[in-house]
Amino acid sequence: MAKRRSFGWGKGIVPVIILAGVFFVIANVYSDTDLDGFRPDVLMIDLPAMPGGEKMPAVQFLHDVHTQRVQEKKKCSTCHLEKNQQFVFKFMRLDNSAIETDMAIYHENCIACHVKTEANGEKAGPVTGDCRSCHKTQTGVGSSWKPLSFDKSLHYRHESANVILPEDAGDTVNCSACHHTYDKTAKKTVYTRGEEGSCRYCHKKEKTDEASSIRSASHDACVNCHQTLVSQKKTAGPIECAGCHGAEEQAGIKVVAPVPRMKRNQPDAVLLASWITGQDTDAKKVTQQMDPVPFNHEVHERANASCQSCHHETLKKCSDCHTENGDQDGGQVQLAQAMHSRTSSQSCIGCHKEAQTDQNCAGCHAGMPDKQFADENCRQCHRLDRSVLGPWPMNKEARTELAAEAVKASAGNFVKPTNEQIPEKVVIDVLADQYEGAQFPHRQVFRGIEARIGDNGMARYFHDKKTTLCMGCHHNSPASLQPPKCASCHGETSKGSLDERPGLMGAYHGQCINCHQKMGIKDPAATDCGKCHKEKLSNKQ
Amino acid sequence: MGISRRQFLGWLGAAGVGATAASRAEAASNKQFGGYPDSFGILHDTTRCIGCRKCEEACNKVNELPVPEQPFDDLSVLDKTRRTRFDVFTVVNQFRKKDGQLPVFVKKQCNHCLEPACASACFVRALRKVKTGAVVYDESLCVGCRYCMVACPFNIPAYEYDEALTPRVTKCTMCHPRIEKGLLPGCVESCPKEALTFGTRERLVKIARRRIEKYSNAYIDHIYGEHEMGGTSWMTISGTPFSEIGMREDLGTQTASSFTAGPLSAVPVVVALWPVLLTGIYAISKRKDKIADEERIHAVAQTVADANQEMTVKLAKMKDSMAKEKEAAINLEVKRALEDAAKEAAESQQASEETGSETPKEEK
Amino acid sequence: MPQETAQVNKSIFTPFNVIAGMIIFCGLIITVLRFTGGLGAVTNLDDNNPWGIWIGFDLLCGVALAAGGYVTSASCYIFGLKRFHSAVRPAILTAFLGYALVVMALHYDVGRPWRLPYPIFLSPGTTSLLFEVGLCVFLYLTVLFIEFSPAALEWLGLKKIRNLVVRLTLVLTIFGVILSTLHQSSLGALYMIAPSKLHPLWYSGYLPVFFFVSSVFAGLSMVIFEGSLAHRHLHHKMDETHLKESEGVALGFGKAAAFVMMGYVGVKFIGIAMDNNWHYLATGWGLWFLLELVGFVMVPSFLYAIAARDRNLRLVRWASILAVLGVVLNRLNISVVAFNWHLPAADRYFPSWMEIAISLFVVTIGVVVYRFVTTQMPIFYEHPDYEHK
Repeated sequence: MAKRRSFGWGKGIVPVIILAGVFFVIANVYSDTDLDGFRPDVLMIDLPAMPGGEKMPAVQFLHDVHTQRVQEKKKCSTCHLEKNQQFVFKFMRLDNSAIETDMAIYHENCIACHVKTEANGEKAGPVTGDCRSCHKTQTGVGSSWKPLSFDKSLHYRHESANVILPEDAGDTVNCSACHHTYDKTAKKTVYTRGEEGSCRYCHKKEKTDEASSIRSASHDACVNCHQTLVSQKKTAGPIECAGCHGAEEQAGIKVVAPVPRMKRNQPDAVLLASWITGQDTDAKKVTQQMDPVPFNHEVHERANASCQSCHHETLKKCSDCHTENGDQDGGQVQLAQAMHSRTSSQSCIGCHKEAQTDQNCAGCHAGMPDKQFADENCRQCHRLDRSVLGPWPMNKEARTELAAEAVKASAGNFVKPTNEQIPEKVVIDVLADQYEGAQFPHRQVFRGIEARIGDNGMARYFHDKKTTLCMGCHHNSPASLQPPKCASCHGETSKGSLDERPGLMGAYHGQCINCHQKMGIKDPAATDCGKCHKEKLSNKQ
Repeated sequence: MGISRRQFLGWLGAAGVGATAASRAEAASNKQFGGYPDSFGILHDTTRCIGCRKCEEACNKVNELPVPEQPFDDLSVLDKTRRTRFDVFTVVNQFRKKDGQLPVFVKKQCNHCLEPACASACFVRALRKVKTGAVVYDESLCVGCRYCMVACPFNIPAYEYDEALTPRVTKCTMCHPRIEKGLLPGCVESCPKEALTFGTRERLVKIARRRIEKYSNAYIDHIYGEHEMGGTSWMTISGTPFSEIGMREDLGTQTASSFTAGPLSAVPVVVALWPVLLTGIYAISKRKDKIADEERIHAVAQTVADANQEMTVKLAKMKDSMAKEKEAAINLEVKRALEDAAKEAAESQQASEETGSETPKEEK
Repeated sequence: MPQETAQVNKSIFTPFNVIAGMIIFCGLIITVLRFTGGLGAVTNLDDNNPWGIWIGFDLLCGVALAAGGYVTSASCYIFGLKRFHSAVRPAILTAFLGYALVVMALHYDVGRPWRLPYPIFLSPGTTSLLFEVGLCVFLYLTVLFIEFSPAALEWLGLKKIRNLVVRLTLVLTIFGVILSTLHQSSLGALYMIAPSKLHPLWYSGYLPVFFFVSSVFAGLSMVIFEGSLAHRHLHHKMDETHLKESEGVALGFGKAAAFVMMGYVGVKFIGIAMDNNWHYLATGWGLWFLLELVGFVMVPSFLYAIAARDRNLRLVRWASILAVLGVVLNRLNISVVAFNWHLPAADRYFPSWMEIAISLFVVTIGVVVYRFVTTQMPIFYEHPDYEHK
């Protein structure tokens, strides 16, 4: 008989399996990546990797926590050095140097302060040896930092603030307090009257040879000025992160409305045509050109949050960079594209298209297919005939006057059809089968859509013919006050024709229901069939 | 074993040929069936669907299904996500979007795949893809094994579990009898929003592409069903990501049948090679045994022969030595005898001499 | 039918008979319910979970555990290992009963069981692996019937036919191995059509290989396991040859199983590597998978190896139980546990008590018939009229 021997091996493996199981459970349950909270003052201190490649995770630094601690004491100078009586918003140094040096600056200064604070009996951050307490990837805190839009209202408040003084004491306006340009030869910033523009024209996201990053520039300029005023016990803007970058705080910023126009000698009306210059223009060549556009600059100024909506790189005119053939300065975007691109928010047509997504417009416009360039109505903007221009040479004043006249002439163009021209009720019963005909309140619906245009200048400009609004529903046919009936083009439910015209039932339901949905009209509900057409009694069994 | 080698191989050959004739499975290749030409399909546009359930009602009427408890205009059923059932060939489900936007409604039914998993899985050909594009079910063949339900990646086929003797698998039929007559499927005809478009599959793909391009902001740039599981006759376009409206995006573009083509193609190879392998092993092992036997016999014989040989040599030696001994003994005896005789003769002579003279001392 | 012995206090109401009788009685009632009320009246199957334990256990495990037939007969007749000869008939009997019961259980699960001949004779769906399974099981059941018949023929005294059939043994064995390879692997390949429903750790292009290889050691282990049970309860029916060879069978099969199981583990890991599914091992499912693979394959493999080395019969038997459980666990995982793994818990399947009862019923019938056959027919002993071949 074989000898008896216990299978202790088998017994030993069971605990191993159980332990492995426990390990896996713990690993899964406790690898928690959820964030507990969000703050706007989260800064990541992330030095580059050491020459040998070693790198600790970035340190998540909560700035406002620290500023609040030093509130009563030396304030910014606790951590920031000064240069030319302005704080340099780097930590305890004027500029970046070698990685080891910077690292040492952080370690020594941070830890020293923490040690001192703790010695005073207050809660402090990590000290030597608690490396991973600072250098950790999962902190449980997320960033709710929001960029600040320095819009016209904020600009006006600065412009009109008495405490903000111009460089030159005798100046009537204080533009020079903030605005400057960079003199390449002198290699310093100078103020030039009449050349003020957005900071972002020179200060981009990343630092360049000529300008610091927008982040550095804005903090250096704004925070320093605020700090100076606060130290003089005057009312000033925020000096803490959350003050500008917190969502709640941003909502609390006082808004001046309506904002007085910025004083930058901008035109009210401009005649747009790339080929018109002050010099002689060959009269023959004029006949080859596109008709110019009388552009209402003032209305567009009011309608946009800042000049940058259109003047995205510079306050110069568009055709300076976006030439007819395309130029490197203009990013190879040709003038025609710059003006007419449907996908860019800086182009005329692109911006107008974005405006159509508003709920008041979407009822008709969301259902319209993307237009091709060839489908655009050029005359709507290119109103002036070339023939009215001249005699050559035509100087700027003459052109501007022409534009202003044309702009004024188009102001009162929004004409509403009379009640006689709009049928009050239309009975749609051509498909009546399970339901009675629909009693469609035609005039009421039309007037409702008309009312949604309201005072919107752009809407009024583009819907300037009596029949334009009709086309919202009576589409794909010549504009007329007596458009053809829907059944002219929409027949039986389609069996997949390529131009994919829906059948009549789908056309009716699609037109009405989609409009309601896009405009947020909850009543009548799409599934409430009886609301629009009563159900025939014979159906109810 | 009583059979001859010839007989055995003959039987094997017949079996092999028979097996190859029976199995027409294709080896895994990149052949894929793109659908019968001009077969039909349906395009479902979820941006148009308003969740009115008229399609469900029409399907119920056309297929003469039992009238449900909750009427079709009761929209509270949309609060729960439903699936098809033995008496419900199609359902409309509601998916709420975040930030209070309007919910999305999606109709769910058999997708009538170009290479259906169910038809590939059916071991009795009760499910077939027909020329109109529909995947039809033949209840006169179905055994009720429900492998089609396991195979369908969209979880569509339902089963009459409460039927004891005539349970059927049920699913959308694409209104096959109606489309053969030139009518529209019930759901397509009844949809007030024309969220369903019927046509040939090729046209529908073009229509879908056009629609997505024309209303670029309104749609996700993807036609669901164009390539999923090798392509389906029923396709969907949507303004919301498909994974958020209950449509799996991880199904891949391989047809279901391509997953099983590999194993199926191995079958005839096994049938062809295994006999060779196994007979070979048997033959080798038998041969080994035989050789072992022979070696054993040979070894035994050898040992016996050796032993005999030894014996013979020993015997000869013994004989030799015996003979020698005998000879020696004889010689010795002869010698002794001669000596004795000589001695005797000498003695008698001496005695006779002594008797003639003095009295001899007689020694004895 | 109970055996009549000389012992005095053996009545028909042995504990085994009573319990078996109760199970069979329950089973018959549930059978009536099934065929009058449909599957819905008896099972927890639904549209999302069309296959339950009648497929997962009765079919998949049944076929895997009945693999002892082809394994034993192959090792004896094809590989020429004559010392396993006495294990052949019990193994063939187990296999035959196993497959017969699989077909019986199939009659419960399938909607119209009288149509089961359709795929073979009327309308073969040759694109389907289920067709493959059905055809091979049908043919193999026939093969097993023929392979088993000599025992019955000997019992019935039909010498001539018996001698004729015995001459077919080698052909049938080879045919049996071919058919077994095909249908064991095809059962695994069944699930290849639904990669979106089976958890990635269990789904693999190698499923057919996994099923076939595991059927080998499932068969080996079942022979050992059943052998140990038979020794305990049917010892008196065993002749000298059988008793003498039995230890060799158990240890020899154990050694073989150890090897095959390690090969299986290797192929399993290759399967994970092929699809780069290692990260799944660090999940809850991964733990379950490792439990199945390590605890129920590697551990018994290791135990087999030790037992074979030390000639420890008791350890071999315990290892065989673990191995059999491992195969059962694997089949259930693939068919029921890891299948539909992504469905929410409310939509998952758990068998109803009636399904479990029928499975138990099927197994009980198997045991009862096994007991009858082995006590009446020359399974554990050689019929005196027929010389050892």
